[in-house]
Amino acid sequence: MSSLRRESQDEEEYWMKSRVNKSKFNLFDDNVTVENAEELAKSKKLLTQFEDDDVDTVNWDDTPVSSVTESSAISGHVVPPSASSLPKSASRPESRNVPPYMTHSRSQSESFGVTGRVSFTPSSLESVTPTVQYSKSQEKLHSLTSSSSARSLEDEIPSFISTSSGSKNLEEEIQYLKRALKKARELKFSPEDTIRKMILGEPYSLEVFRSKEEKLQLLDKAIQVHDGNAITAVILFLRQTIKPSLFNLELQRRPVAINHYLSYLRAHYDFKELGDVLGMLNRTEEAAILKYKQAISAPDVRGKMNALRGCLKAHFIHEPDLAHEANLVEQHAALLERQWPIEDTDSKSEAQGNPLFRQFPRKVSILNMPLITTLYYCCFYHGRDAENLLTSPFAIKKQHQLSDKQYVWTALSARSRLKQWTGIEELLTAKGWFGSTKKVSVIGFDKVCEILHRTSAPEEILSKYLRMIDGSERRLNIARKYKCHEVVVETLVYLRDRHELQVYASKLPPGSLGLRNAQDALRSSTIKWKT
Amino acid sequence: MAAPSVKGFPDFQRLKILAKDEFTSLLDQMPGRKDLVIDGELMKPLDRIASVSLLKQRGVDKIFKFDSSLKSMHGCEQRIYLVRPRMTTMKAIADHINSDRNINFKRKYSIIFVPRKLHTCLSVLEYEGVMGCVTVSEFQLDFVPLDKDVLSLELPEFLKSFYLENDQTWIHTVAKSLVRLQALSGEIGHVYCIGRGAKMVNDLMNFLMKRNSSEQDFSRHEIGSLILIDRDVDYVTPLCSQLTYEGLLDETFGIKCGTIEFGPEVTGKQQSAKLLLNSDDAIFEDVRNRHFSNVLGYLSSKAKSLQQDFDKRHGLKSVGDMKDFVANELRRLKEQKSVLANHIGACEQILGKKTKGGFEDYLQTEHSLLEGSGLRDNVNFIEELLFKQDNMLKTLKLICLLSLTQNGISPQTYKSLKTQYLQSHGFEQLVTFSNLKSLGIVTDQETGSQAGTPLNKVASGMAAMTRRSTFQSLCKKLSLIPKSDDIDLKNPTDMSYVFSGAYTPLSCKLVEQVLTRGGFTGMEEITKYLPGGVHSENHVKASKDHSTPVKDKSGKSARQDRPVSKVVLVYFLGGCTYSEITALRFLGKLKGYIFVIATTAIINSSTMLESVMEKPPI
Repeated sequence: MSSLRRESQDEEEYWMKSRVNKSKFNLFDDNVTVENAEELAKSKKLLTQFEDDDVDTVNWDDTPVSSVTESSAISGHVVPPSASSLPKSASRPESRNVPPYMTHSRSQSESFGVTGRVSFTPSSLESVTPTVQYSKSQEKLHSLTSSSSARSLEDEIPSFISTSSGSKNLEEEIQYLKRALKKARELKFSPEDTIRKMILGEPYSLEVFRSKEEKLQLLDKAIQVHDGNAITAVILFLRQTIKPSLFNLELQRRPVAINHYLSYLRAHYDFKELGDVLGMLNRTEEAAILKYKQAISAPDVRGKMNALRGCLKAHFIHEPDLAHEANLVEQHAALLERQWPIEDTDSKSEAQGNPLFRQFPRKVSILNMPLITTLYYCCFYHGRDAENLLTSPFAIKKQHQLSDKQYVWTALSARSRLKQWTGIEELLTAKGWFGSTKKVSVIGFDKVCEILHRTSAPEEILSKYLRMIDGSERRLNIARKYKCHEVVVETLVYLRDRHELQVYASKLPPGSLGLRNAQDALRSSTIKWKT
Repeated sequence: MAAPSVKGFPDFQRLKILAKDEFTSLLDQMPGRKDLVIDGELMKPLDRIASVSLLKQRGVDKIFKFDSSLKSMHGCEQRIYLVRPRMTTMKAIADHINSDRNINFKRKYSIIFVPRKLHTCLSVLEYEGVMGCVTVSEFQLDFVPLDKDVLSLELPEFLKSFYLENDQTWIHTVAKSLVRLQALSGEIGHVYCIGRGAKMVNDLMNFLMKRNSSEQDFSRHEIGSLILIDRDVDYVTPLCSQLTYEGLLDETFGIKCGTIEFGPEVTGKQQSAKLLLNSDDAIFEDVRNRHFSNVLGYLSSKAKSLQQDFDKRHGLKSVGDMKDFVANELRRLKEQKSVLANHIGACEQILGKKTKGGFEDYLQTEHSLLEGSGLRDNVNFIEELLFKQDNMLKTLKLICLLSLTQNGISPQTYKSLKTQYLQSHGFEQLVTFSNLKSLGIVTDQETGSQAGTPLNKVASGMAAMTRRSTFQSLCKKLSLIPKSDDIDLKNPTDMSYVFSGAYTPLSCKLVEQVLTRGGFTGMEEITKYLPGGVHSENHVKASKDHSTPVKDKSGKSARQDRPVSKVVLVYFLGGCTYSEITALRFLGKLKGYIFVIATTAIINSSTMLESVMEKPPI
């Protein structure tokens, strides 16, 4: 019994020392009673204040001598409870093989390091110590300290003070408990506190959160306060520490988190994972567009063509919702497949001194140009090519299902630039019934004139098409706009507006055809002028 | 409403001084000679804060523009990087450091993040193995005061990041800017949030501020109310062609961080001219808010009167008079003359560009889109621009407006316009259309009706639904389209003058409504159309009865009529245009408010669209 008592004193002393020494015990222990909970909270507050200071003293190999002496002094204040009062909790004590924390210091903000803001005050510590109760880990101590044989208390104390090697076992215990306490200390970070620290830019650590629930609390708190940086940081921590199936499941429950994860992956150029996540989320359109974007970023045209075909097959054609997009990607690939050989042939032909290219030098390569530009190019350099050739404008129209308007507009611009007036006429001639022909323009003759004017067609040609504009008022306005005097005069005569004609004639340059016509008309007696 | 006695604008020079001090002390943390490597987009903002001579004085040896394509950099043995927190930037910096290490060159590195360091950036540094040899710090440069009433975060990427990618990283920066501002000007009593991001900023701001409710005398604070407004509430306004002088300057030449650069075609000289555009330039201050039709006339009359002042020199009698003229008058006159010449030159350029490009037809189409009339004609006009391969941005703007005003484009038209756009401007623009769809700017009317599609589609469909019928209903309820055509652009009586009387900017109208009603009460018929909802908080009441802040969801608030309540901070998330700033300035004059405009960036239709567009391959 005496030995038992001694032993228990022994161990209590040890406990008090180590506790005071590290000023810490497991807060989350079951044995923390309601009465002392408040005190605990207080002490916790105090203890946290010097947390930073003694981080440095916690060490695997060194024995913190100074703290030992201090603790032995304090131990005198403690009233040791009887052994029977020790709680016999069934719960297992902390494992000794706790891996060191902060293994990956990713979230520990290196820039700041340790900030010792609050100084350690012994007086406040003393006031705390007597109220502190034992934790369940004491139980473990029985077995651990029993090996240290039944020495008297008197024997024990000096050995503690005098030398650090006095008791190997005890020292080990101290180290072990230090670690346990350190863990306990770290546990004081609630998810809320940690998120607050992250938002305020203070140092924090995510590694202390080990349970999935706590990690998710972190995430939810970060989402709740709308800080993208914290959200992303917690997501990456989660990804690192829980298995993918769990990670994906929890992510899918939180759309905000998903968005941040996707945003991170985009910024990190992690397209593989990005595509996978989008696929997992059934965001097929986004995934397809992503693949398309990757395909078109291929540096050379050949690679781009292959990538586009591959992407089309894998991500577009099997998606009913993407039928329209699939058609557009198909067109893109087809366009490159057309441009590639054209560029190849034409650049050679240009180098060999083909007169066509000498007369109208090519400014840039046709590769990667838009479809309409390609059409214009082909109308310009290869307007007469047979339909079975890649360069045929008509083949382009057919393959890309261009509307008549798109085709006529472009072909007209090219032919006008080339001054192929008969070509223009062909373009605007439609076969009517019974082999008759008539002039039609799907884009309207006003637009025809606009193109002719823009490509500086001669007045004679312009006038010809101006006359085809329906509606005399409209014709008059457009003719005035392009300063086509002949047509203006004609139209005014047609409108029998003598006054306007006089006004207009007065502005015409002397000797011009328009003026002559106007004067003739004004002199004419056959015209019945409007009154 | 009687015009109250106003104290005037809060003094934002203090923000500059604070930023300068902070930056100086950051430079001093690395004593001695050092090189400074600056992120390109921080050049101009930094220019507004610190001068080169200050940098030199603090030991900065050489200043480089950060170039992420460089694998290594030369320079002295100490280097500071001043950068935005981006992972790609971090990678490039790590490359620099590692290449120095490979040749055993010893150098000290410091990275200053503007405005804050991000976890992702630090992990890149760690991953690249350079964390040990750099020191990292933050330069909390948020607001750059561009003028006495304009504060900008100069963060154009907010739009893409928040609205397209739904990334909330920059919300913190916005909230922090408000916290810091209020540390100077005092807490703002009334907060009104319009939109999703606005509410988030308010929440985070409250989280950061820890308002101590008691013993606050709000009447002594400098700003009475804060209105936070999300850009996605009103995408229409920034897409309209700007017609005020300042707006046109931005659209034509591009105003960057309050400065403009006129090329030789404007200056009429060999070299180009850089001008600081703010209220210190008296001539500019006189014309900036005018409708363009009313600018050139004013400038030429100004030129005449300036000429008269010059001519005074002929009438100088004595040598003393002459000496006096040369010493005092001449310098001022010469300065004014060169400024005036630049503005007149700019006007000519603007006029030239606008008359050449068929601007009138374009504007007419734009206005009829806003009115919702002549749909077929408008589509034809857009198609014609596509046939012509006219400017791709200009065409896209009209397509956006068509969709926004019509609650999405009918499926057939949508497909046809999209196809033709891609055929005319490159298939790469497929990505642009996808982005615009996610943003809800160009949508297919079909999207809303697809039931049973995956979650995200439903969500984007919902967005389309809420925006559906939005614009025309809002126009009606807020009478955004003035009925009479005869608006006097010279002496305007209505905010719509900024768009030639064709349209009142929705964002500004909402601001007006919130202020005149003192909240959102009675606005349910309007707010139900606004995506993201509204929220208001009143902290003033709480201070009176010494209790915790009462969140006032109903929006009822006892409005004070002390002068401070007339100072209103309007904060645009996702950027605002010069036209909106001008409209608010006008509203302020009309109703006796003092508006301070804060924004994540100043944008125009082009910069807004470009930020979400796929770049052409060539």
